[in-house]
Amino acid sequence: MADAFTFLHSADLHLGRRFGNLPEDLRGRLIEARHQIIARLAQAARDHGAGHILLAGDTFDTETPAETTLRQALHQVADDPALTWWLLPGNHDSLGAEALWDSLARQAPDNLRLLTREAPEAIAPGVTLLPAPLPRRHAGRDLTAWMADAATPEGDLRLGLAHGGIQSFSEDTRDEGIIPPDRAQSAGLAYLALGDWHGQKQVGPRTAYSGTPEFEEFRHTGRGACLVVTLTGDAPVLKPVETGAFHWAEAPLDLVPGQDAPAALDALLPPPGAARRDHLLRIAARGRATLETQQALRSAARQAEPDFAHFRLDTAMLDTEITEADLDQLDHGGALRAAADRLAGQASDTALAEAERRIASGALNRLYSYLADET
Amino acid sequence: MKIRAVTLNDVRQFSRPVRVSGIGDGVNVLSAPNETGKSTLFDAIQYALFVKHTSKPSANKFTLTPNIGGNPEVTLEIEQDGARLEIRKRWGRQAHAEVWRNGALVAKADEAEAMIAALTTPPEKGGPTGLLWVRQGLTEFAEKDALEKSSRANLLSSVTDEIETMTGGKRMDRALARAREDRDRLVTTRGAKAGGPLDAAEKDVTALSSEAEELSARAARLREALETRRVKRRSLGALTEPDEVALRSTRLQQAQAAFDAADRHAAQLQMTEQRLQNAALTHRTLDDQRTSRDRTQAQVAQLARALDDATQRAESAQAKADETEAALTKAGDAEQAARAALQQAEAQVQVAQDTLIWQENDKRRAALQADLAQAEALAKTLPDLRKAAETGPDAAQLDAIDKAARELAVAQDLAEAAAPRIAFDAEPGAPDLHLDGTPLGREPRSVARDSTLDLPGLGRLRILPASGDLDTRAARARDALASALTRAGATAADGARAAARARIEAGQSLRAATEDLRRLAPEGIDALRAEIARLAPTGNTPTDAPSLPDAQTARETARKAEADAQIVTSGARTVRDHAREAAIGARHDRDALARRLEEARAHLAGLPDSAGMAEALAAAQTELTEAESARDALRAAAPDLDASRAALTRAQSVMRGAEDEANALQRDLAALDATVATLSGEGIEETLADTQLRLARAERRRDALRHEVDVLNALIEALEAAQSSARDRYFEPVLAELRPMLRLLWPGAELRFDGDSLLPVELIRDGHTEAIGTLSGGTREQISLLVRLAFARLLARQGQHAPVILDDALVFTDDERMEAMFDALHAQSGDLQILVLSCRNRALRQLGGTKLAFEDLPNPG
Repeated sequence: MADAFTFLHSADLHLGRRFGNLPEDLRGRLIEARHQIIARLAQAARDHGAGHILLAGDTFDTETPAETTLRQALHQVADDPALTWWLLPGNHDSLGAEALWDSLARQAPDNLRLLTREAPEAIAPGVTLLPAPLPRRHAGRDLTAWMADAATPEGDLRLGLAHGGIQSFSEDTRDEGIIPPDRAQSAGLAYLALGDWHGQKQVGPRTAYSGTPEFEEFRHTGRGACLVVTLTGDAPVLKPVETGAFHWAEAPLDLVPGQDAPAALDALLPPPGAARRDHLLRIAARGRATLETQQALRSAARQAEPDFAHFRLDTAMLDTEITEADLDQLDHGGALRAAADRLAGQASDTALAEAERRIASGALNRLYSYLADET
Repeated sequence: MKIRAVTLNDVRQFSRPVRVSGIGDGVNVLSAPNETGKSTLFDAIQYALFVKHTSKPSANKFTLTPNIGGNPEVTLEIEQDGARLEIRKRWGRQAHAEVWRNGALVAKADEAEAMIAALTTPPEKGGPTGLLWVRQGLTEFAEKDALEKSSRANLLSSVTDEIETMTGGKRMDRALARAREDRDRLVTTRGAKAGGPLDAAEKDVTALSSEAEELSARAARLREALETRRVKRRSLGALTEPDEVALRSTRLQQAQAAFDAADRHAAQLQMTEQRLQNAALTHRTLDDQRTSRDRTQAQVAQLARALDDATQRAESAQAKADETEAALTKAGDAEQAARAALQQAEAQVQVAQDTLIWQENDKRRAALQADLAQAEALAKTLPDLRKAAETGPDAAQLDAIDKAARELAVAQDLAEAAAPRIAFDAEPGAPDLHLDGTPLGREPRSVARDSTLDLPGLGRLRILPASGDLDTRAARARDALASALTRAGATAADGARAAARARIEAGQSLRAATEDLRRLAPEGIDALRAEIARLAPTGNTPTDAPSLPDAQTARETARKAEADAQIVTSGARTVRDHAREAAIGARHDRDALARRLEEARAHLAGLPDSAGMAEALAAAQTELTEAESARDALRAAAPDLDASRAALTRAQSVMRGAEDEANALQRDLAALDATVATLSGEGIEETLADTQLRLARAERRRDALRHEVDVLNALIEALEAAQSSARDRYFEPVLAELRPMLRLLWPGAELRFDGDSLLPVELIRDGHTEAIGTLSGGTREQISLLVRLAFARLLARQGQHAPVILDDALVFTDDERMEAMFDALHAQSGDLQILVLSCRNRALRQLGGTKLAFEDLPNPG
């Protein structure tokens, strides 16, 4: 058996993603951060003494990445010849993407190895890699099945590399997880490095998803990361290393009438400071709040918003608690109060459709904000 | 607030101080001629209340600057909440503002202005004062100029607090304005506002949808190209795989070898079959020759017999032909004789016919000669008849004569009737008397002309009747008759009549003679003579000519005989022709048989003899049998040439097809490589994924903005509905104040206000609705005044007294209405202060109230 073998496990780089769902001024920063991810992985590998970087699929976001995406990635890989990159086709960049893999085969630098066949690959003395490349976007079968019968030199560490869901969770909702959770054990693997799930997750003692090194959406909270894995023959040692430039978070803000909404919002925010500039935050207000509270909450959100790379308060699911006091604040009588009463009545009229109630509630909130602005 | 006194100094035409004082509650009247300063007083009050002392005179159109230069100064004494206040203002140099309360200075400059503002509250801030002033010619509710605008901008500004309470006031207006502004930023009545956020969002969605669609199509094309390339690459790989290529080559070689062997065998078989065919042909030829010899010998014998028979038939037929030729000659002779007889009979018929014609001609000529004689006799009478027919008076002349004679007779009768009558009743023994030679007795006689009465023994008594008109008429008639007779060539009427009758008779005779001549010689006498000459006999008439019926009967008999002879001749000719044809045919048959016999004998002579022919036939049979055996053997061992050919063709086709397919695949792959390289190099799918995300974001943005519009519309609708409802409720008390005053002028009238501008817009009277703008100037100024009074009443009830100042406000109102307006003013003036400025002295005498006047003050200088 070899000595301890340390490598870097990453996946789901999704190079080429352009973040069209986010504001223009932010997209450039996010694209640039994604462009730098190979360099950050390389740095993490160097920092932790890893000579090999295993990418468990979905390195590219599409099967036909732009030439610039491809070429610039390859240049970054080639930047440090001391590092060897092992590239596994995932569902986004499966072998069905012949053009991509042809290009990679033609242009790959020496330190980039393409794992396009289900065949043992000696990646280091005493370490054999058993890759499970995806032949097409949806494999439809357990691609790690062959690992159990794969012959490797006696005493070699058997290292599995695959992309897909385990059990019932998968990044791609169209795929059901079909990799057995005990594949590492049944195939005698020292470690099964998985890709597909963008969050970092250890499935078993010898099986883990590294997660994406840079998040691209709010499904997972935090920063992207990779795993530095050290194999010794015993259970592998996994060390998460943050690589993401941006912190992504989506949090619910549950409110009840009487609650200090600005304070509740503030509690969800990272400490004030320059670091907020790299935070993307989406708060979904839920529950009920009075007109005054909603006004205060929006005001607090407007106050906080400029600190962040992206900040969004979603109040679509926040119901309005209409109180006499709020209405009195609008006016005790007269036409203004009559208008407010009418909107309040519509907002709470269950005979109306949900959409109509929300419109009335929105109108009441708007009236409240107009008048509050005057005071 | 109530005004008690106003003092002006150096204000426009007032270079000396003047004062109007004693302004009380109720109606106050300042009645003075034009140009005496009423409007100046009006403006001075406004200045004191609303124009800061620091403002430059030129800033306002209604500057108070004196005509001769100087700095205007106004002191306004008012009563407010039980206190007596004095507002003193000066503009221009040494401008100042002061407020005095109960004789003590309480504020100066800006502080004084602030206090004044607090007292009055400017119109733009809802103060009451500006509202209730009406000046000459400004009875409309529209804005006029800057000062008017500020003081009259809103009719209801004086009751703003009340309105605000009821309608939400300026908070409502601001909220509504903001909501409308926010909404208008997004949409117009026709949809998304061009260039607005919603419009931009919708355009983004449209553009991105289009972009995504186009990218999807390109991505699909890329996918299709990739898939096609993958399939084609596999196809090419399979085609060019070495084992596959070798297998196709081997199969082709094998098929070629099999085909070559089969082809060679087929050639050998073909040669053997040719040999067999030759042997069979030789055998068949010899056999045919033998058969031919036998048949020719039999034919020669048969032909010889037939020739003998034919010779006999030819001779017999010739004899028959000669016989019929003789019969035909005889029949021809008979026919010729019959024809000659017929010709003779026809000549006799001609003779008979000619004889008849001659006879008819003679008769005709004799008749014509008689006509000629008669015609010539008539022709000779014609000149005399024509002359007689033209002699004597014609009908017109005779008619003129008759008329003249009748006129003369009438004239004479009339003269006769009018003439004196004379009678002689003789005494016995008296001598007879004669009048114009005629005895005169007791029978009276008329004496129409000069007459002579013989008086025996006495002499002659001449009676000369006086001539008269009747005589003149008779004389004219006589002249006319004489003239008519002269024109007719007559001397007397009777003679003229006889001559006219003779002329008529001569005319009748002439016509009869002419008619007879035309009948006798229609073509003229010369033509008649020519016809007679044509009918003259040309020869002697035959004397022995047969009768025509006899000649015709004889001709018919001859004609029938000639026809019968023709029939006989024709029959004989037919028989002769048949016999002649039969003889010729028999000769031809004989000659043909002779030739055939000769040919058969010659053919028989050219054939081999029987022994040689039998030997050759046996040799041919042997060759035929051997050839058949060889062929059967080859056939039994022959491979399937068609099958081997088909196998070879297929193998060749497979080889060619594989080559062609490989070439085509390589070409297709080259093109696909280019397509894939182009499309994938552009990052179509990356761009598509990005565009789809951008589209989703744009759609969210658009939906959010549409929701925003819905929210704003809901808010605006709620605010407008509430405001409208509140205004309706608010106007009720105003209308309650206004209604009694309106009905002083127009019983049953109502005034309707606009919900937005809060201005009166329609007057309803006598069941008719009239727009304010269409009313007369007088009616408009009356409504304007009454509305202000109503608001002033309302304010007064709420403890907000404001003076109503009317500066020649009723210039268009007639005297009758003026009375009604005075009633309204007095009726409303109970707790109001009304200041009337007017030049209509006489009319205002009826108004009553406190009389005001300008009072000169000593010059402070």
